[in-house]
Amino acid sequence: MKLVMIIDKRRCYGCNGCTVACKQANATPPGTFYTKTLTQEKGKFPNSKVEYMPLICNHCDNAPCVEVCPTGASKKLKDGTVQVTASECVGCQLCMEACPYDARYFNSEDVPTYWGSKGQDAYEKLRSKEHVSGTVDKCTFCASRRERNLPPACVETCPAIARFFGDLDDPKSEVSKLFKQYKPKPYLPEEGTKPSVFYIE
Amino acid sequence: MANSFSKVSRRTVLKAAGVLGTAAVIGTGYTGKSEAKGLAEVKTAPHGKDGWHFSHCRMCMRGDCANMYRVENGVVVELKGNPKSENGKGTMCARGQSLIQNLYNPYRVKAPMKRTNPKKGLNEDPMWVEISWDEALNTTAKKLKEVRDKDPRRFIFQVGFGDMNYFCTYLFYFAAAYGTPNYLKSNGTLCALHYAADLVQGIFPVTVSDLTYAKYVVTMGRHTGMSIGAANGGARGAVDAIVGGKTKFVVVDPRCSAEAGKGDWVPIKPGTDLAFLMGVAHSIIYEVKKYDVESLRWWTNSPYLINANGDYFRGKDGKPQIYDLSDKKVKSFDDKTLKTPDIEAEIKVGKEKLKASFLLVKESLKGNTPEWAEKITTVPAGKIRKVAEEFVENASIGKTVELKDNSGKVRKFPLRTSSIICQRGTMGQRDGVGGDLMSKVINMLVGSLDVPGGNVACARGPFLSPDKDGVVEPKMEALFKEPTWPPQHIDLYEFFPHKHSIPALAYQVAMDPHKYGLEYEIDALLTVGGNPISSSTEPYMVAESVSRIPFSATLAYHYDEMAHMSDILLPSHAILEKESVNCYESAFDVYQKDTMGLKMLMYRDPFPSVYDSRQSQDIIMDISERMGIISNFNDAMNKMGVMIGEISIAFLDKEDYFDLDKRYTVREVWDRGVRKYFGKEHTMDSMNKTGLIIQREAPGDCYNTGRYDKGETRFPFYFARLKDSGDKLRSFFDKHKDKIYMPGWDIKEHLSFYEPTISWRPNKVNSVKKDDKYDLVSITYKTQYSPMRIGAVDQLPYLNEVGETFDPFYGTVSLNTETAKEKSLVNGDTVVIESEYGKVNGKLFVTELLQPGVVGVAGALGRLNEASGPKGTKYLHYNKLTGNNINDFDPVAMGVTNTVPVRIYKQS
Repeated sequence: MKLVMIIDKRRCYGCNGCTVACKQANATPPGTFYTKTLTQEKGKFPNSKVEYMPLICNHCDNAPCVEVCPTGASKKLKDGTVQVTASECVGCQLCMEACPYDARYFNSEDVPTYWGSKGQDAYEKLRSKEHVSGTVDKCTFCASRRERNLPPACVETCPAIARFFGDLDDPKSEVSKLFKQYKPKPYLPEEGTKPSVFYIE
Repeated sequence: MANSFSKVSRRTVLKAAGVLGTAAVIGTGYTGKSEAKGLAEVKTAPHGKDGWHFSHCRMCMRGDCANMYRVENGVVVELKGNPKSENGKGTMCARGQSLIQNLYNPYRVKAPMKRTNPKKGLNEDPMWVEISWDEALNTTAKKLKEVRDKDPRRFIFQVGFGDMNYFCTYLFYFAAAYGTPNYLKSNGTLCALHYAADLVQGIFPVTVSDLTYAKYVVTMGRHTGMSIGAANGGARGAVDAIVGGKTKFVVVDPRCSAEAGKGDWVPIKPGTDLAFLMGVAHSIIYEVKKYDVESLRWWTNSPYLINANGDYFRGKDGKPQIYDLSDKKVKSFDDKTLKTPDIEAEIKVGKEKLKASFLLVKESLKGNTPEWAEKITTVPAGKIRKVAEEFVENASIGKTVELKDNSGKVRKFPLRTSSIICQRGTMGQRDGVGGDLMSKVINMLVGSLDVPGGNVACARGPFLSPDKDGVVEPKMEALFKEPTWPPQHIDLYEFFPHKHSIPALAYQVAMDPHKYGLEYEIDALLTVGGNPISSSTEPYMVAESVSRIPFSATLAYHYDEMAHMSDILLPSHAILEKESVNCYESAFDVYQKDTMGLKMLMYRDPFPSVYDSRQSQDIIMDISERMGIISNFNDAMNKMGVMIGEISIAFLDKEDYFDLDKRYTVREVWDRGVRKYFGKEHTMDSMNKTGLIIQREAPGDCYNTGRYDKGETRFPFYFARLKDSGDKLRSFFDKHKDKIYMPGWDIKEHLSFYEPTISWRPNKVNSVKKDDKYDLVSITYKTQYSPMRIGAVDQLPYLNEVGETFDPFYGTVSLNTETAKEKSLVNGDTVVIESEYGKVNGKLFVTELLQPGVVGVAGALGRLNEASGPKGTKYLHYNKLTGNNINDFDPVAMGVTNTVPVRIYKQS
C-alpha cells in the first residue's frame, strides 16, 4: 500500500478551506498548520498572475525527519505515511530543522487556545489534549478519520475538488488513474526525499 | 520561479499574530475594554445529542451550503459538507469550517442585558447589567408599543443579512405588523446590483452566466465564487469550464482576482467600466458589424419607433409602433402581419420624425471608439477590440439547442454562448446602473439574454412576462412608485423609487427629520442582523444618529456597534443553534450543470444553546405577542407568504392560513411553508430525518424565453421606462422644489441619469489624475475569509489566523510596485489612506497584482469598537473612506460609490 495525495494546482483557487478544515478536524493549536495554501504572484504588471500553492507533509519515502529522529518517534509506516508517536517524542525538534517543507510544528502550550485570556472553549477543552505539549506534530493524512473510512479532511472539504487521496499501489484507485493521465510532479524533487504528494500543474 | 508572498515556516507563523498590531484605526482612542468583561457567564451547559446532525451554513450572505456537525460528549467536535447536496457535493469553505468558533465564541452576548449608562456613543461604556428574559422582552415590547400607539412611523426596524437564515419571519412581517414604513436594510448600500436585472430581465436580484454551454464569459467587478472561496458549486463549475478548456474567462478588474489568475486578466482603472463597455458596444456595432439582428427584431424593443420626445411612438390603439420592412408599413408591435421589423428605421409619420430604438442606441455610441475608451480606462484599444471580436465570434449566433422540459416535450431554444456580467465593482459607481444597462445592451447584441449559454436570470421557473407594451414587465426595484409629498419614509424613498438601500441617508435624515419634510421624529429602533454603522458609509455620522434615538434594542449575537448603542440586548443564537430551513434555487455567481434547475431545501437540527440566547424569530414573535400585535403578524404571514429561501416564498392556501390570534412556533410556520412549497409529504419531522429535499427543473424549463414565441415578450434595448421614471420625478421635484431640503444636491444632474440611452459623464472617481489632491482611487473587494461580516467572520480566530498568515492582502493596504515607487513607499510601511471623508491606516503590501494608481483594501474587516471580538478594531475599516454625499451616489439605484479618490502617505 502506498497512500498518496495528488493536488491539481490548476483547480485550486486559494480558499484555504483545506487549512481550516484540517484545523477543526485535527484540533491543532494556534500556529500549527498541517496543511496550508500559499498565495503567489508571477510576472510583472500587466502580465502578472495570481497562483496558489497548497502545501502539506509529503510523507516522504526518504524522509529526513525520520532519519534524524534520535528516539524513533518519527517513523515510516507500511501504508506509506510518516507518523510521529507522541509518547516516544522528546521534543528535540531536529526533525523540524531537517524537513525541507516546513511541515512540522512544535506543541509549545500546555493549554492552547484561540481565545487568549478568555480561555479554552468547550471544543478546545475536549480536543486540545490530542496534541501533547513538548512534542512535535505534523499531518497524519488524517489517520483518525481514515480509521472511520473517511478521507483526509482537506480532501473532503476542497470546494474546487483539487485534492485526491488514495492508494497508488491499487491500479483501480482514482489517484492511480490521475497519476497515469497527468504524470504529476513532486515538490522540491531536488531534495531527494521522494514525496508521496504530487502536483498537477 | 513564483514569488511566494509569505515565506511561511514554523518560525514565521508564530509571529503572525502580531503583524496587524500596527493597523490601528484612526478616529477613536477608546479601547472599550470593560464592554463585555466578566458579564454573563455560561448559563447552560451544552449537551447536544451525540452523533451527526444535519445543518446548513450562513457564514456568507448566500447560505447555500448543506453541511453536518458531529457532537461528542455534548460538544460539537467536527464538521463536514453534506455529501448528498448537489451544489456543494459535500465540500465546505474556510468560513463554514469555522462554525465551531462561531458557536463557542466567548465574545457573544451570553444573557439579556440592559444599559445603565444613559449616555450613548462609540466611546461610552454602556455599563451592561444582566437582566431576565422577561424583563428584556417586556421592556422592549412596552417601549415599542408606546411608540406605535403614538405613531408607528416613529419606529425604525433595522435588518441585515446577519440574522437571516434564510427564513425571514421577523423581517418584513414584523415591519408590516407594526405598521412602520421604516424597514431599513443595512445590507447592499455599497452593493446596489438589482435595477438593471429587474428592469431588463424581470428578475430579482441578479443575472449570471450559464456555464453549461458558455464559451466566452466577460466578468467585471465581481467574482464567480472563487474569490470568496465559495463551496456552493459555482466556483467549481467555473474551474471545470476553464481547466477543461471549454470556456474563456475575460476578467475586467483593477486587481488580479482568483478568477483573473485562471482566465484572461484585463486590468482597468476603477470607476471606468462604463467606458469600457461602451467601447465594446461601439466596436461590435461599428467595427465587427455582426450582431444578432433576428434576436434584436423579435426579442427586444429595438424596432420600436421613438418620437422626438424620446418616448414610444404610439398608434391609435395606444400601442408602440414598428416599421415593417416587408410591406413598408407602420404597425402595432403585436400586429400579426408583422414580418420584418426594421431596427434601423428612420421615417416620418405625419409631421413626426421617428427613429427605431436600435438606431438611437447605435447613434448614441458613435463617438465611443476603443481609442476613446482607452484614454479613460487605460485598457488598450486593441484589447477592447479583441474582446468585442471574440465576444461575437464565440456567441454562436444563429445556433439552436433542443432541451426536454418537465413533461418530456422537446423545446428548441436559441443557443448563445457569450455573455457579459457586471456586478459590484461596476455598479458601485456614480454611473453604476448605466454600466449594468450597457452590459445588457452588449448581451442583447448577440441575443444572449435568458437563453442557454447566455446571461441568465439567477432563478429558474416562470418569471418573465410582457407588459402592455410587449416589453418585459419590470420587477422589484425597477417598478416605479408614484412619489408623494410629504415623504413618509425616513430614507426619503419617495425621492428615490428605484433605490436599493440607503441606511446612511436615513440616519442622516433621522437626526433632523422635519428639515427634510417628514412629519415625525424617530423614537425607537430595533435591530436584527443589521449594522448600518460598520456596514454602511460615514460610520461616525450613523453612530451619532443612532445614539440620539431615545430607545434602541438589538437582537445581538455579539457586542457589535449596534449592540453597543442599545438600551436592551436580546441575545440571539449562533448559527448552529438555530433550527432552520433554507431553499437553494438560485445561483448568484454562475450556473453550471450541477446547479442549473436545482431546487434543494436544507434543514438544520439545532444544537442546544451554549449561552442564554434564543432564536431570533421566537424573540420577534414574543415581542409581537407582548405588544398585542401577534394577529397583525400572522395576518402578514398569510398575505406575504412563508419565506423559506432568499427567493423561495410559499404562498399558503387559504385553508392553511395561520389563525390570527395564536402564537405559533417558528417550526410550525416552516412546516406549513415546506409542505406548500415541496409537497405535503414533506414536513419538518421528515426534514429532521432526511436533511435535504432535492427537486429539479428539467433543462427545457430552465430558460424563460422558452415560455414565449418570438415577439411575445421583448427585452428593453432602449430604456423607455428609465426615462419615464425621470420624467415623473422631474415633475414631482418641480412641484415641490421649494420644500425639498438636501443641501448641495444637484437635482438636474441627478435626473439626467434617467435616460433611455446611456451616456458617459466624467465624475470624481473616473477623473482622478496625478497631481490632484486625491490622486489615487481606492477599491475594496470580497475575499475568502471575510467577504462580509456575517457570522462574525472578521472576529473568528481561525479565519483571522489563516488570513494574516497566508493572504498578504488580508488586513493590509496594497499598491502596485510602480505606484509605491512613485510615492517612495516600501513593503511593510505603515501608511495612511485619506479621502475627503476620513482616514484609515494599515501596513503596506506592494504587488504586481493591482492596477497602478489604485489602493486596494481586501474584505469586510474592521470595527469601531473593541468589544466586537478578539480582533476588535485591529483591522482598518474601509467604509470610513466612503461618503454619504448624494451627488456621488448612483442616482437610480442610489448605491454609494465604493471606490473613492484618496491619497496615501507614510504614517509619521
